[in-house]
Amino acid sequence: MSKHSVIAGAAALVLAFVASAHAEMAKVGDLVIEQAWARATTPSAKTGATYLSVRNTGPESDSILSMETPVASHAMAHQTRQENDVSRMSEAGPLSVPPGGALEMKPGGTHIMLMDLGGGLRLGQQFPLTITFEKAGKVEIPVKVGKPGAMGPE
Amino acid sequence: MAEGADWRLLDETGSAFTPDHLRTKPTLVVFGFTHCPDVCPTSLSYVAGTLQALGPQAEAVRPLFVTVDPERDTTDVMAEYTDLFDPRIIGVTGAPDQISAALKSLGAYSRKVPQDDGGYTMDHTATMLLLDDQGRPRSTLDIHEKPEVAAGKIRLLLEKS
Repeated sequence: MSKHSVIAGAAALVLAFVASAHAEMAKVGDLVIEQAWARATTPSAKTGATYLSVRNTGPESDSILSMETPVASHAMAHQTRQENDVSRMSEAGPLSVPPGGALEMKPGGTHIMLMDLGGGLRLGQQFPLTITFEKAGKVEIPVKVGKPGAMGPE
Repeated sequence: MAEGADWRLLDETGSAFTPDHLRTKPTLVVFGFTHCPDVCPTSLSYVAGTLQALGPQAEAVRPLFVTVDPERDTTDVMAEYTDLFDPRIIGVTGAPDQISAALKSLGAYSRKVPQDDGGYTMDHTATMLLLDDQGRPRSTLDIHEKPEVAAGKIRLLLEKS
């Protein structure tokens, strides 16, 4: 092992430690992604919901281009709307985060729809979600799985 | 439920579930589908909270989850899904025409909405219905109220039944 790779390995260890100590938060550019959580599903479930919030501490707006996770084939932003007494769900389109503002996801509103889950989501499980922002670029955040009917991160 | 309602569904064990079953004790009805990860878990967890708030009186009411997506929601899928929230919740599915008839007689709406990826989602009635022991709608539950309020509405109905 070269001296260089030893240093790289040590740096990776330090990074891993920092990441686990701040498991609930990730930063990229001017964006802070936090409180990422999902609801547990049945083992055979094909869909799941994930929620998180993004704070924009910078002077420019940014938006989510795409999302990926190893636990599902697709991850897309969806929006639930209630019109009279009918509940409708549709694609949310590009989600933007205004400068100095935040994007908050929560049950009954904007959520990340995981499609074609490969084995459901278990209570207590943690999985990575990679978000690509138009300006800030890529960031990976760990998502914690809470109870099936959870209304927020636990 | 309208007079003369005629439909035959299946409960999560595969046994018949007909309008006659709604004439045995008060029923709390939730409409939804298992591929719905946002609204339906919220509703079912609210039902679970309401049953908990009712304590032993929960036995006097039947919590029913009627799918609006019979194509994907088989009896096994319904059993597994409802048990996630509370094993007392009974999942009900059936042939598509029978589900349509049941939804109509309960005054519920559903519509299949195709998605870009080739799949589909369902628009559906989000209101939770409280039926008396004759299957007649008596009240609705509002998810924005505390489960204790829902339990209070059910207790009121039980006193009248």
